Amino acid sequence: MSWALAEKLKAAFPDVELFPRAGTEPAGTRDQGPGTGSGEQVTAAPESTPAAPRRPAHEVPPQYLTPGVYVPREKLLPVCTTLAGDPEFGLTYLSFVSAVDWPDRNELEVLYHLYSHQTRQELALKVRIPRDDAHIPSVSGVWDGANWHEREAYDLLGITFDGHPNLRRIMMTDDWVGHPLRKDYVYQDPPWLVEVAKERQKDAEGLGLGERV
Amino acid sequence: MALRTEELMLNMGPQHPSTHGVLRMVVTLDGENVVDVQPDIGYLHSSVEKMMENRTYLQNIALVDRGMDYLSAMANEEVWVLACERLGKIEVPERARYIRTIMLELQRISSHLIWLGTFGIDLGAFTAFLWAMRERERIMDLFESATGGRLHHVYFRIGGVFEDLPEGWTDRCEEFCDYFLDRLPEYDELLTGNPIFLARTQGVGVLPLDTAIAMGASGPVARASGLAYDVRKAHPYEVYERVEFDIPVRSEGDCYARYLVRLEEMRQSVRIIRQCLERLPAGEIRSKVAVTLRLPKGEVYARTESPRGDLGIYLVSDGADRPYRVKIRAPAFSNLYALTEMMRGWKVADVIAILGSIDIVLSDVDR
Repeated sequence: MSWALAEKLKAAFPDVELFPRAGTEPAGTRDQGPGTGSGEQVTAAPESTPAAPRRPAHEVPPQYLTPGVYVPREKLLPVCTTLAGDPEFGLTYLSFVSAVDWPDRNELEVLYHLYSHQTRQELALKVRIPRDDAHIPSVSGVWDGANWHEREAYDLLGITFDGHPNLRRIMMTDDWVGHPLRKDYVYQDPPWLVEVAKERQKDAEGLGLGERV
Repeated sequence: MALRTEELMLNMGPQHPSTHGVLRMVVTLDGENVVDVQPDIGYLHSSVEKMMENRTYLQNIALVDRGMDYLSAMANEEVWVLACERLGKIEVPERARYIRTIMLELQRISSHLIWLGTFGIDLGAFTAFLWAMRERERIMDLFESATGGRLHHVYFRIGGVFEDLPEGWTDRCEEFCDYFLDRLPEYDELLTGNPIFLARTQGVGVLPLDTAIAMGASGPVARASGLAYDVRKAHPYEVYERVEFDIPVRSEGDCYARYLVRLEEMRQSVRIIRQCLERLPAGEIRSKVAVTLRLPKGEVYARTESPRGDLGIYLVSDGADRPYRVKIRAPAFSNLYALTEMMRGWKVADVIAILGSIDIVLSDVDR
C-alpha cells in the first residue's frame, strides 16, 4: 500500500502527522503503546532494517502497515471534506469508524478507514481525543454510511459525535450502563434487570423455594 | 370531502420469519406505500470484539467462526488469520494457500445457496429452497470430511491450515463441481425466467451507484448497482491473482440484478475451484508458529471479499499474546444501512423482497 495519499494530505494540511513508518523511529514517547510489561522476545521477528540490532519487544517501535495520518480534532471536518470531495483524493468510500482506547495515556484514538474505488488507495485517519472529553465532529454529513458506524462507536466506546442526526445506542439496549469496549468497563446490571431479578426472587420465596442461587 | 388519511407505523420483528434472524424494522406506511423504514439491530450483539481482546490469537480462530457471520465461517477465519499473518510477517506454504482458496470458494457457493433458498421462500418459491439445500448438503459433506465441522470449521491456522485434505477429497470436490454446474441451469428454469419472480424483483428496490458507495455498501449489493469492485481482484490474497475469473457487474441496482450477480458468482467460484484443484501443489500445509503467538507491536487492516462483501479486520497489537483491539468491519452492517434508501416508496409487500435481496446475516450485523 502506498503512502502517497498520506503525503499529499500532509502537503495540503500541515497540521496532520503521518503514522510512523516501518523502519523509522517513533516521533515521541507517546507512540510507545502501553503493555510494556513484557520483556520477552516476540515470536515473529519484526521487520527492521538489517543494520538495526534486535531489541526487546517493548522497545520495538510499533509498525503501521496501513498508511494513515493523525488529524487534530478541530481539523477533522475540513480534512474529511477535502478527502471525499477533492477528486485528487477521491476517498468516497468509508470502510468503518471505530476507536481504540488507551487508558494509560488517557486517550481515545478515533479511527476512520477510507478507500477509493478508482485509485484503489486506502488511508486511515486517527484523531486523538482525551477520554474524559470524548467528543468529536460527526462525519455523517460527508459520508452517509458513517451514521451507523458512529452510533456504534458512541454505544460501545462512549464517544459523542457532535452534529450526528440520530446519536442513540445501536447495539446495546437504550438503558445500558457504561461502554463495553472501553478497557476499564465493568459489567453492571441495567436498572430494569435489577427490578426483574427482585420480582423473581419474591416469586421464588412465595413458592417456598428459598433463596435462588 | 377529502378522505382523511394517516400514516401507520408497522412493527416487523424481531421475531419474524422473513427478517432472516432477529432484525426489527419499524416501517412507516402511507396506505400500502412505504414512507420510511428504520431497522433496529443489536438483538444478536455478543460483543465479539471485546471477547477477542481476552483470548489468544489461536483461540480467536474458533471465536470468529461463531461470533461473526455464521453462514460463512471460512471467510471469517480467513480475514482473521490474514490480519495476523500480515502483522507477524508469517509465511504460508503454497499448498495451504491453494486449499484455503478452494475452501473459501466452496463457502461462497454454500452461503449464496442459503441466500438463494431463503430469497425464494420470501417470494413464495419454496422449491428453490429445497434444491439449494440439496446442493449445499454436498458442500457440507466436503467440509465435514476435510475439517470435521459442518458450519464451524476452525480449519485455518495462522501460517496454514489445520490438516491436509483427506484421501480422495480432491476427486469428490471435482465431482461436486461437475454436479453443481449441471444443477445451475435448473435455477435458471425455476427462477430466472419465472414471470412471478420477475414481477416481484425486476425494478424493485433500486439502489443507485453513488448512494451505494456513500452508504458503504459492498459485495454483490454494490456490484449489482454497477460498482466493479471485488477485493479478490483489487487486492488479491491467497492465490486469487493466479486464477482466472470474472466479476459479474450489473447496472440496474434492483433485486433482480442482485440475484443475477450472485448466481453468476457461484459459476465463477466453480471456475476458481477447478483451477485450484488442477494446480494444487504437494508439500507442507502449515509453517511453524508458536501456540502462544506474540505478534509485534503494530496495527494492520486486512480486507477480504466475503460472500456478503468487503469484510475487514483492523488489528491493534501491543506485543502481548492476545490482541489489544480488534475492529471487525462487517459487510452486512453497512449493506443493511442502505436498506432505508432501497425501500422508500415501495409497497409493503416489496419490503420482504428487498430485505431478502441484500442477504444479511444478523450475527454479522450485530457481532
